[in-house]
Amino acid sequence: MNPEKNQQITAEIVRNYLETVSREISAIVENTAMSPIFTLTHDYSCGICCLHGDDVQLVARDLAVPTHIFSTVESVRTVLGRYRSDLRPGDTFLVCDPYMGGTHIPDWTVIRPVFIGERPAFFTIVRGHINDAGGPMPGNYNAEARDIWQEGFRIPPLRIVRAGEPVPDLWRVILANTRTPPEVTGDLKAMIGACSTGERRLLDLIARYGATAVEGSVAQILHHSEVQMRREIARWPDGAYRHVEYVDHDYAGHRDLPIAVTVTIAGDSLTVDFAGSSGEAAGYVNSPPCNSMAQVFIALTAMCPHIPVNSGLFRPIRVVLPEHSIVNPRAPAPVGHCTLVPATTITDAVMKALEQVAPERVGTASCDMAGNRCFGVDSRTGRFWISSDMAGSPMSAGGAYGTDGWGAWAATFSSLRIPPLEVFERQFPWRYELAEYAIDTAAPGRWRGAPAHHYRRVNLDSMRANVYNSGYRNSLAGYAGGRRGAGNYWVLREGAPDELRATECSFAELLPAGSRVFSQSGAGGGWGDPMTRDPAAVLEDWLDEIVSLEGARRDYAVVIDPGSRRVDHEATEALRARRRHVDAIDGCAVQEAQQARAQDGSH
Amino acid sequence: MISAGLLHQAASRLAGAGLEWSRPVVAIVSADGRTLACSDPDRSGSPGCAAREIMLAFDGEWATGDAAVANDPFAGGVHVCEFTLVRPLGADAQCGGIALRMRVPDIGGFAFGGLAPNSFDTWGEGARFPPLKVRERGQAREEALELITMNSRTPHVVRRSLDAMLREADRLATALADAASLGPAISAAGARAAQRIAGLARGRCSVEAPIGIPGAAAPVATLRLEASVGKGALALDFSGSDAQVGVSVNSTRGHTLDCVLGAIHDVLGVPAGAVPDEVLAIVPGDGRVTGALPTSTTGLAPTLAARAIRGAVTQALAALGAPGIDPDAWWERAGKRRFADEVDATTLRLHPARVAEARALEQALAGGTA
Repeated sequence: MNPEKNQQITAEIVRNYLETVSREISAIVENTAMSPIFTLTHDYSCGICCLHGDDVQLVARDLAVPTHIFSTVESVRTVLGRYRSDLRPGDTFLVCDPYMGGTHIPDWTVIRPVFIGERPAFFTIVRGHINDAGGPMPGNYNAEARDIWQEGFRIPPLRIVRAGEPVPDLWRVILANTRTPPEVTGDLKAMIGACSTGERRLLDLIARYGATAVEGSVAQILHHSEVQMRREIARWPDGAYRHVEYVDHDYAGHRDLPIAVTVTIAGDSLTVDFAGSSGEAAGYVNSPPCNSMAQVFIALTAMCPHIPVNSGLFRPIRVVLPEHSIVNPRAPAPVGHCTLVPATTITDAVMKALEQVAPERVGTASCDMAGNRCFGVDSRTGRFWISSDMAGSPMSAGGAYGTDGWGAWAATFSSLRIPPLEVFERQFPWRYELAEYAIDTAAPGRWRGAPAHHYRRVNLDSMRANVYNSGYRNSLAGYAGGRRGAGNYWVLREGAPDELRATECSFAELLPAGSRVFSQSGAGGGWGDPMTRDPAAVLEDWLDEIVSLEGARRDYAVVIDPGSRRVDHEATEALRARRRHVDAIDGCAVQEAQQARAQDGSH
Repeated sequence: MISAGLLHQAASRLAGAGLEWSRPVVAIVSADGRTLACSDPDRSGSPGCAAREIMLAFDGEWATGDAAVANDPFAGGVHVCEFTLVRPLGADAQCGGIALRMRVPDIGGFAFGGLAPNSFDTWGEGARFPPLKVRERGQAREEALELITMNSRTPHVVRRSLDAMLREADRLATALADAASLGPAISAAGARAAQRIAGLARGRCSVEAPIGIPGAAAPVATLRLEASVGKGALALDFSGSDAQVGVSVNSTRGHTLDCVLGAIHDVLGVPAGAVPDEVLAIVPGDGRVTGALPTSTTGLAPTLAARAIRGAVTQALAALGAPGIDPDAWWERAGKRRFADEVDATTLRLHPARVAEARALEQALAGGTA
């Protein structure tokens, strides 16, 4: 075998080894962390970075929350910026602050350098969402935040383990600033332990193959992804492609904030420029640079699923983030909601711009949760609790070329898991009454989006609820003629005289024992013109109670005979012909009707 | 004997350079957390309590040149904006230490200044710092200092306050080179206090006092004090008081001790500082409005709870034969003015004038013009 081929094989072995180590790190966190947000919801991500020359590169990851893992590169850079001359084996660092290598305050990143001889060569990483990081609002989603201090305890990059020994007073301070110290202690130790195991595995690899072979392989892995990505971009026509999506609101009274994107393709490289986007928002929807860049990478990795995901893939991409804007704020602007809002809108905007280039590659790749955090004291145990009940916001999957939207969150976020309802009923004082796909809520398209999810629970104790809703007016985009998703909203104290329909937010709203909470979690958009959907697929959807007879007529112009359970092809053809005629006269009419339908839902 | 002048000079220097409102306190504390001497008779309890927590946190780990801070209201502190810095005297803090207290303008939370009536708990008032070393072997520990300052809306003012406390602690440590002199100081102050308390009439009394917001129709809580004198010792039991409340008037153990010692100082003329445990027993009542536990809010306690606690103790002492003074004397002398200066009576947030003053100083320090 020739040496070059040999090297390629070694590189592939190393790549798979590193991804397997990332998976092992992830499994350790899952099996040893304490809080449900880690063990059940899997709101954490693991990976490995390397030092390539003077810069940090992501080289491997487990199936991860992409927002987490793509932004960890900046976290490692921040640690190196501060501690480079003083790194020692056995050190472990914590990075959290949005303006110092983080995204939002509760996302904590644990980083452990791995040494080849005297020099740091790799970094094992876990980034996870801590259930509470102090600050005024339990759970940290403070819709009334107007500065960063109203969002939680700020932690600069810290060496929390020095040469293998925890630094006790730093731990004391960190844990004094969470409302759930036992859980957070367990989660933090799980993250550190997992990174240590990752370090051992990397040292094993280096011992087996030698530093030169391993580092050479890593360089090749990164190069391979870069070459693949450049090849892909070179196939796309040169030009500037622009799109504007809108963030519903900033939680401070301002609506429809633009995220403007111009994607410029020139040969084998690509520039994503956010000029024209909203300035810094007053509320907590500002996105620090690494968070904004992560959303761009989410779109592009989703469009190129055949390319191994690492920093090599990002090399041909330049991102321009105007200073003091919603996508590049300056401290102390609040950023607490950034990983969802405006994250979702950024990804959608990039996708929509690239829809003009490679329509068969685009679709919903983001995750627009109809977020909520509740807190209270469990009367069964006397224990204070904080819960992110993701069962109320599980949807974002949209249609894509060749496939309907299926499952729950978009595939890119499939490492997140909807918690088992029965387990949550044990852990928190409520009972679920409803959790199901809702009829006539899937975004119409040649390939439709997943249906919206309807949820209802009855609270057994009194509690307070923060709802931080978005994607109500500007729901997830449709692609290539597909319609938008159904959108999100909440109803608090449903059916009571003081029922509150929350399409934007609620702030620590009191929910008495016995009160009910309802949510609609809308899914992603459809792909392609609904009038081109195979009538047989519409019939299947009717049989599966995803569309009604009326919905089949309204959204797809498909006429179904309920008696024979067949499509009336003649009537369908006639209806579609008429509909095309109407659409040609006023293309907006259908869109408006669809939007109205989506916003009203079937609640 | 420790010179009171020395402590007052140190406190004055701390208050200089634009930090007048920081109400600095300088105290010498014993290793077990008793205040031996203090620059401010109104706050001669909590610095010792906080210092004890700090010294214990690093027990066996002190080195020459170390200093540590804390602001935790539930570990000897009063409110999150009040930081205590301790510099041990002698090897491993066995001879006690120098404790300095300064109020910083802001330490995060819902609202500037730590007065946030919409807080659910202590984190709404600001960040919590249990004992943290800010200097190790004479070297500033920058990562710890940054951890503190970046949680403030006035990072430069906080840093200046911490640096000023470190400087004064060093200066005092040099002046107190002979740590052995602390022993006699304990005895002298303690003997005097014991003598005054022994002079009280044996017996018991009960006092109730409302804790209220000025101008509000009804009090937010009621304090109940059972006081008794027997065998030359005074016992003050607050455990019958109302449970801690959702309004930020809850008094921590350290703060209640401040108020009790302040009232004893006013009524009996006992020097600020050491009242031996043998002659004074205080039961703040854990979980009561006078013995606030984590994670209650405490921002208004130094004015509003202080008025009730000091008034109740003054009344009780009078009932037990001490010279009678107006129970509201402290409020009239200091509390009322302080409340008016610091609190916007309408919003119960930090007074806008104070906010403006702190922001101006922060801007000047950030720009290098102060």
